[in-house]
Amino acid sequence: MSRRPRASRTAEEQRARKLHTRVRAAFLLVAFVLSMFAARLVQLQGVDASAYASLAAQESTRTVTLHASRGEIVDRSGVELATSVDGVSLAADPTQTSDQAPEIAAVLSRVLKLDYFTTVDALRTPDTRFAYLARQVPQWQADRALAALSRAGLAGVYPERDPLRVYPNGDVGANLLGFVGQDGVGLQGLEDVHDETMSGTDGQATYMVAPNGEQLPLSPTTEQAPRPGTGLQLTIDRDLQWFAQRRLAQAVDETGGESGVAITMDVDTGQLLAYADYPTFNPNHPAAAFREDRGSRAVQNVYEPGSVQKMLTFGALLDAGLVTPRSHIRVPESLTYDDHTVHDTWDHGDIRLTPTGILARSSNLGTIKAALRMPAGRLEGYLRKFGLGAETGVGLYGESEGLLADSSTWPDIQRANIAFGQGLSVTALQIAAAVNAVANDGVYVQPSLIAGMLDNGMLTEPFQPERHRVISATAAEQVQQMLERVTNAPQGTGHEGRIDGYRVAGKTGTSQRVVDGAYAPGQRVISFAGFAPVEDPKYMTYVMIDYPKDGSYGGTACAPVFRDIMGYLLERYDEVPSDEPPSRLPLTW
Amino acid sequence: MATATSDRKAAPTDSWLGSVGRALDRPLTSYQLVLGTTGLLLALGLVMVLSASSVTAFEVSGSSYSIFVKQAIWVSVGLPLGWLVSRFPPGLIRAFAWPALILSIVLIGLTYVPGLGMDVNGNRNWIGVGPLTLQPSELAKLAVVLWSADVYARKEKLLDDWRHLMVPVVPVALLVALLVVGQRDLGTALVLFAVILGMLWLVGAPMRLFVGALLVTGGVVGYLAGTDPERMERITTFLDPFSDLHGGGWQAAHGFMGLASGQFFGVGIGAGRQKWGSLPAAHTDFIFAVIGEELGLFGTLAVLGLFGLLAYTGFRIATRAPDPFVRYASAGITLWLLSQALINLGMVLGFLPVIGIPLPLVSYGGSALLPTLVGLGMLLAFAATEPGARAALQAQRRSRRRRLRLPRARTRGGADSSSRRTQPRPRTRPRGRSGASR
Repeated sequence: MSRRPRASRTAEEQRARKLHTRVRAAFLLVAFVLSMFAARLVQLQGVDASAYASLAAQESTRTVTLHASRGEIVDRSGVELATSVDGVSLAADPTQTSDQAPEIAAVLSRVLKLDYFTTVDALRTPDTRFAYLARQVPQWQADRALAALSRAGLAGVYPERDPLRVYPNGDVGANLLGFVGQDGVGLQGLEDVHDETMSGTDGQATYMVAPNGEQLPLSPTTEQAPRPGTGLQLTIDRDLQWFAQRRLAQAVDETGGESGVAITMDVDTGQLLAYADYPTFNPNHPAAAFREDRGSRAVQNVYEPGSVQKMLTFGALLDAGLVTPRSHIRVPESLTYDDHTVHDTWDHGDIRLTPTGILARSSNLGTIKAALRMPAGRLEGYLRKFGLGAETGVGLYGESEGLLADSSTWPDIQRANIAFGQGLSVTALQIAAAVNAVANDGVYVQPSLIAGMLDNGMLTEPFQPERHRVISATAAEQVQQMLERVTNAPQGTGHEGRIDGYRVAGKTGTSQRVVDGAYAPGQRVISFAGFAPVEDPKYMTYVMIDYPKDGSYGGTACAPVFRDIMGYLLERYDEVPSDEPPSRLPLTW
Repeated sequence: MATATSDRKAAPTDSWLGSVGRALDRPLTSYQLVLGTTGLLLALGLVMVLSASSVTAFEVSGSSYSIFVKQAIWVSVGLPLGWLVSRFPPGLIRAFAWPALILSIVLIGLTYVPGLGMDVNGNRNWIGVGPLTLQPSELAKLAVVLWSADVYARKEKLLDDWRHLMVPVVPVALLVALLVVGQRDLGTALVLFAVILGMLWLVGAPMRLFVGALLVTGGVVGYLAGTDPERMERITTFLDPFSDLHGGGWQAAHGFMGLASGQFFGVGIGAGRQKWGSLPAAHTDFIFAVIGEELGLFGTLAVLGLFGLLAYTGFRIATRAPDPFVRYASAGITLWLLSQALINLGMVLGFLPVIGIPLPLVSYGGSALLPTLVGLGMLLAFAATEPGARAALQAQRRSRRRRLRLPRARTRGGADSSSRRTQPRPRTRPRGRSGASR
């Protein structure tokens, strides 16, 4: 190169210089473009980053609810009455499903019987990556649906754990337990009352997903663990409850009654061992039941208790020392107050009965005559202490107070009626608790359904029932002896309540049904209340049938139910048969 | 004058600026810069290909490494090849110019042969030979650069005549470009176009040619866009990819989302989210978005910096080389790699519509990587022609050889003395200084 002539060398140098300028220009262009890119990067990744990043996050973030498992409801020995099993909810990612909504909805409506149009709408929910399609679907059904979707090549529907509430015993205790709605919220019964503690607190997990729905590793995840709900332990005995419900149902159906209640209490503790409402429903399929059958009539419906009330009246009279079991009472043919004439259920002239006889034969007139010995206000006081006219506080929604008017407003006829159980209204549970006070040697114990809360299997917050003395133990024991005559005296009205081997006290009840504020002719509420063994009452059972159509009385229709339930119970709890001689109190003088 | 003032200014801050200046003055600087930028971009590329392809690879083959391993194999083939080329004298490289052009035209022609031509993503610019697939258009870029550099070096004295500027380079290059366009590889055609324009610019084509080309291109694009609403829509989509997020704007928009999610320091290598199926071509054309997501602004600016440094070095070699072919070829190679990089980056950053062009050295793809490494090997070979560079290289190699033989204590002395020996060579000093001061 150096050997070339001078001239060409200058030309070459000129050319080289020109190349220099051009190269420098090219480099400047490159540098300029690169700085523009750098500025753009500062804008994209620094200044405006959050806007685009939030778009990215929004596109790929999925938030799922971690459903807290709902607390169980178990019976007194831990048998599950209501429990949660693995279920799933199906949710759609509408960004994936909106295009194929009709196809997906077709599959889901076929497999899961979901409503087609609602599902299409859900699959097309705008501006979200999450929409529920179905809640609380049993695992196997969900699996089938998902398999069908994947076979059809349809993406965008995801399962999410969503425990399913089941009641393994069907209708056993249904009216107590209530049920849970599709969204997992308790709608009735104890499920409703204790919804907040039982449902626990749902957790939440937020994570990022790929377009195909897979969770992205190494992506920010926040998880708030769900706190499981507290369980409930009931005082109910599942087997006894089952038996009571079946026996009650049979009786109500046989008598053509509208409804019925059977309540069994542990005398000493006031714990409800059985609490049967009929008609009932299957909480696994609440929608299939009538609305009025899903509540609990035993605390919601009021009626006039009828002659069962007489034991309370005599308890008060005995406690006040105004009568003894053997007092001499003349019972007339009839009595007239305020133009109303009261008769007994059987025709008689003037007869001479003891209070025992009055109870055994269920004489209205005798009860009135005896009750007149006590001022109305005092009787009212006793009745209120027996728990009438006030909620029992058993812990169910919609409990009625019943109706016990102020004694100062009682007209004579009402005062007379109240003595034998008309002119006031009660709930079945109220009267059962009142009878229980008699059985419990005069001490009223607030009836209870809930033994306590179950936190991780440990029983906490055991229920402390309110208890107070209503009548003296002596008076109560006297009433017990008198009531035994109802079942064992030849003229007693409650022979059907007898249980072989045990001394049984009981009282029949029949009252007129009130419809729209007036007594409906020929319509009755029949009942039977009793307890055993008389020497030391352990269990009390109250049976009521509303409006039997076949002319049954408490002694004929309810007493057999009482007998069967109590018989089952005494045997079940290995109660020692009575060896003391039965009550032989005289009925007449 | 300029030299004097800059020297005086530099004096007080001698410690830092001065040492940078001195480093740039050294005869081996170009050589080492090419080596350094190439190595860093290649290493970053490998890591990011592994990260960005892991999901796709797992889906396709069951192993997250399958795509990465392929790329690693290409690198292990390309590096020795590049090294070999870097040892060639420029004359030998020049001898390859014509064969390379003919070979690439033949290979591109083969893509039209049924049975050999393969369709990859609607782009038929591939040849399949057994399990091997090649994209001859990638080779064509290097071949066109080399060949035009050769032609212009021969025509050195005739270049003032614009006909010699245009013929035969422009028709031949356009032929290659048309062959490539015929197989629907618009990206490569665009790079070829940029390379031709760049070569014309370097050899001193008059300004009005470029103004004219710009006007014609603008006019054609404007006409095409204005007459067809669908094209118009595509252009508006590219301007605002979010306006058609679920259609044409998807890829660009998700590139943005990836970059933005990275913010300043990234979500961490491997932790990117867009590669999980949101961002198509995450490990090839859109790898820069993955870098932005996982390494943040820090990583993306580093990539820009490395390409900027490569441009600086390539052009520096072009200005320092004594031989015209070496000047044109090194500037051409630099232009080729940079135009490809800038088009790719511009596409990811939303300055250009989405065109399928990989990022040189970084993106996955062996057909692109091999010519790139060979081209960079040539750049190294050219860097060695810088005054004093060959001597310095030989001294370095000698000292390395000696170091292997001698005990440690004396090794350092030997290395120092050799580098000192290269410094005071009378011919290097003045040139180096003038280059630095300008």
